[in-house]
Amino acid sequence: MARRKLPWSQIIAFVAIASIVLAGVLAGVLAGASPQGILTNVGFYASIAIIFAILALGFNLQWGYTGLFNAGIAGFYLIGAYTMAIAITAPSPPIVIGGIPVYPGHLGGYSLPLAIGAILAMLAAGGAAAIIALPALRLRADYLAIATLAFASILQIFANNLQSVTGGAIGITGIPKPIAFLSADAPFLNAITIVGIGSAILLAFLLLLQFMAESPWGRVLRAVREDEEATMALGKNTFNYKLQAFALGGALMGLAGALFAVTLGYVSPSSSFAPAVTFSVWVMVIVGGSGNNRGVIVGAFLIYGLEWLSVQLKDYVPIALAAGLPTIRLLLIVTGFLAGIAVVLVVLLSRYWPTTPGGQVLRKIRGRGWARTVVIGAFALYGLGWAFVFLEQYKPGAIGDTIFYTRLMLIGVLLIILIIYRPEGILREHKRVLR
Amino acid sequence: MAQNSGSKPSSQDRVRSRWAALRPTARFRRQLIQAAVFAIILVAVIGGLSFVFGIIVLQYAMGGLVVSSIVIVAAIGLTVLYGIRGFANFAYGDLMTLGAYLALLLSVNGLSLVWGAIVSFLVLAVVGILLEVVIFSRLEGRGPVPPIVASVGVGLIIQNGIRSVAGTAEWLYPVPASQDIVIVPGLGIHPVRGILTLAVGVTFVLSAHILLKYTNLGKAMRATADNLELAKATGIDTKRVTYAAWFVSSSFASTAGVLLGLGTAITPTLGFDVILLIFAAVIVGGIGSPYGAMLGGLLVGLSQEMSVPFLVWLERPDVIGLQFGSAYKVAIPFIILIIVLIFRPWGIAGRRPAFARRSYFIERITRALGSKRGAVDASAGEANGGR
Amino acid sequence: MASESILRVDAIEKAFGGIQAVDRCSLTVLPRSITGLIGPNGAGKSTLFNIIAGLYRPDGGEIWFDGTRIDGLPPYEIVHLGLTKTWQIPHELRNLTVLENLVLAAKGNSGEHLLNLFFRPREVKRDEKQWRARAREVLKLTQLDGLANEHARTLSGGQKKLLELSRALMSDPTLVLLDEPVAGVNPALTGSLMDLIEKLRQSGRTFFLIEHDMNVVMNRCDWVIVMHQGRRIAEGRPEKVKTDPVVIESYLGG
Repeated sequence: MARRKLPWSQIIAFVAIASIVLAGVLAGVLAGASPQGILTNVGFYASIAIIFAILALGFNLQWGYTGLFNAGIAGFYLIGAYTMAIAITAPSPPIVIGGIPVYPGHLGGYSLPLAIGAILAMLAAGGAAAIIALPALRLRADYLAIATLAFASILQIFANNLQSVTGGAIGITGIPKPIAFLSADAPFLNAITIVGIGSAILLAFLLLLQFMAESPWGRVLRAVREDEEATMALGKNTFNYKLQAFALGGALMGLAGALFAVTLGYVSPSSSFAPAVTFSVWVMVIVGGSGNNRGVIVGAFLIYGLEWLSVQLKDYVPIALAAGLPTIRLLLIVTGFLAGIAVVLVVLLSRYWPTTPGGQVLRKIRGRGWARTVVIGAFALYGLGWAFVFLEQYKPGAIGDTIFYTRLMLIGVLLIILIIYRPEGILREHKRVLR
Repeated sequence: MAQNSGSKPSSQDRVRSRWAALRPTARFRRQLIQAAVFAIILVAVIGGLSFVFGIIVLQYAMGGLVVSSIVIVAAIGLTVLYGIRGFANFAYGDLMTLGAYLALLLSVNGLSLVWGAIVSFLVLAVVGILLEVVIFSRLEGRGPVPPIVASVGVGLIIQNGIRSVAGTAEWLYPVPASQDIVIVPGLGIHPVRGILTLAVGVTFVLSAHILLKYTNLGKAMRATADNLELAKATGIDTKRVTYAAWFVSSSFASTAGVLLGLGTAITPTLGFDVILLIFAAVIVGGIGSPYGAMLGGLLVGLSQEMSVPFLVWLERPDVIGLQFGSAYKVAIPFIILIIVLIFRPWGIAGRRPAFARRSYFIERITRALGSKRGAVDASAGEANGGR
Repeated sequence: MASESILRVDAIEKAFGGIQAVDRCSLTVLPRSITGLIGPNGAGKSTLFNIIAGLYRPDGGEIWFDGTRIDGLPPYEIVHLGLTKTWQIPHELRNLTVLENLVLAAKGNSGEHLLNLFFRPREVKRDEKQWRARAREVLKLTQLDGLANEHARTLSGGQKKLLELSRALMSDPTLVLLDEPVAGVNPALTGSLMDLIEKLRQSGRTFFLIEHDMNVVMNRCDWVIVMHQGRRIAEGRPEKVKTDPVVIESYLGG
């Protein structure tokens, strides 16, 4: 390590996160929200981002370090959340109004202290991971993915239908917060407490994981990821190591679920535990660099930041688009015209004057893979622009709703681009050198 | 077929030699017998159950067959791609959804549903080939995980693209409402959902069979699925085979999506909701084997539907008072999938890989239980022999 | 066979997809010997080594190591009993450094067990320091010490072979199976490596090696076993085996 190069990717990442938060705040200001409301909102962003960060740390342990591709993250998340809810909520018996069962009741209601609930959540999720691991860990990566995805789906079905245990489709509500604030400032203070507790937990586990990862134990995990057969031939019981990594990762995911239950105040078998959560965590870990604990935390804040921002902007983009529609259309027409001329020029030049720099352009594009992708991407974006315009024209207001879905499409695009061009992540795994 | 050397082969000999080409090989004969045994057991079980519990069993079996036909069409598409391209396409469900929506779009705008399905078939085939060209060709040789991640990305794009354009509301195909046709009192079949689905299913299965067994392209596809390197070495154009695989895969997906949409409402998660069911059929049947996909689809579809009476029985308070028992029917195929993955990951029609990852844990248990080593080794030898 | 054999292979069979790779092969290796295993390509030598080391499960037969039956045991247990194997095609852990590759071969590094990290931190630190030092010593022996902190993927083919050998020596084994240990290694280094092996043999270890380099086989092995088509067809002192007509025909006929 001669001269310290500026860690550009990390700088860009931090700048991106800061701008996301700023944009969200701006949106809030434009909407006329109170400073407290805005801060609570930002606090919410931070809490959920921390929860995703813990999920990402768990997945990183399983995949980044040990090479176990878990497609059922949402399942362990769910177990943690429900265990926490069952453990710490007051009992709520079934409610029947006029002979119609309105609420099926739920198991538990033991009103245990939060810390115990969290520990139980980790034990439950980690235990489930260990049980699944016994048959599943010897499977090939794609089989493991399918098996874990099936596991998570079964859990969602059970959560929805095992009425008297999980509260059915309604779920479990009234989960107590860490400190019962009673003043009017309650939401704001709650947000602060949760962010505080969450950050402390995140930091503690980050340090713990770093310690474990740098240790000889972590080294065996990395060896298993590299080449399991060779590691076995070196005398390591690789199955045990995979089991430990998988169970610990699962326990972390359970902890994230427990935090989620407390942050939200209720759990239900909703989209919070859908496979999309699993896929988002994948993006976060790939973005942050698999194997890089700090990187995946940054990845979590970045990706969830985009999601949070999309909700904040949901109300503003359609208005902006509607107001600017004629301008945008003009812009598209002009750009299209110019691009058309450029394309014709390039083709003509390459045909009749191939030696000029202009004529070389086509060949250069054909030669470089990324150049082709850029050109195709530019055309795709252009088409998308027109699609937006038409959509806005025929179904005004539809864009607002689509922002929510475009965020998920963006995650999809990110997954594809990253896995093709930058699988090691945006934030590089820092080189480990044993001295 | 001894011929007298020197004499001209008689017309009888010529006919015999032509038939010889069609004579099934030993392995195929064995599989045929296995399939026949399976079918006989199946019919016997269903017959027995309906004898005991009444004709309602047949009704559920009928429903199971309809579900199975959809699953089989989808599973054939998925397994062809899995076998040739070597990865699990997690976007398959969303491709099915796309096919269903395309047909919907066309039929809402005046085209008949049949034409809509045909256009959707072709468009999806092109989409599949585009996916290969743009994305998946760049992921060759990177192991099993990158294509899965990329396919998840594709699936997200398709599913949410549909959501943005068509909204999350449920749509229905403009099919004339019709009543079940009663075959026997207590046993009815819906003309569209039942008969049409079965008919389309059978047609597609037969076409897949003809394609794979009797065309040169089909033979090339089977060879590539079996052993990619060997296929390349024997001069097979694996690129063309890959495109053909995507063609078949995505077009079958679109048809399965349309069939699915006929039976239920069309939503953006239409395909994604059933993708694990399809994977279960493919894995149970053996990856890369269309015949395995048929068996797997049959098993998965029938077990899901026929578990309903059992689950309803569980709802009774004197049993375990399970609530919403029939909602658990979708968990049955998953349970079968997990069991298969534990004990026989290569499925019914698959072969035990030569270098199977051993589970010392399970081996130790079987040894402790005193099972003869010979028994385990015999099955290994049997599975290794043959091809 | 001789009751003082350190390794006894008894009628081992292994088939892969219709091909009988090992066909009721039986052989013995005497302790404190350098025994060579030769034979034409495809004779089943590497497969046999993999079976002995526990990586493949034999379809039939028994393997006895130092009085213990080891067939069917998982590889890590066999390593703990004192039997290690190197790979013909090096299986280096590419994204780990050379030093890490070696330290991983240590037997009994307490830091590799999770609970020890928390409950016995001093022991962990001590073991780690000890094994790193030991690894450096072994690297010096195989002349790789300059590359200790390089990632294993940057090594040349011959260096990767040396890495394989170094790893095998780390765990202080009783019997080492070497699969073409000096293929691709320059002759000068080959000489000092074989000297090292000879020295280690004199301190009580046994070496069983597959080699195609006839110089090494003839000059360094006490005893040579010849395999062909999955079974042992000849054995004896190197000079005798060299002139055995059965052996010559196996190489020519195939």
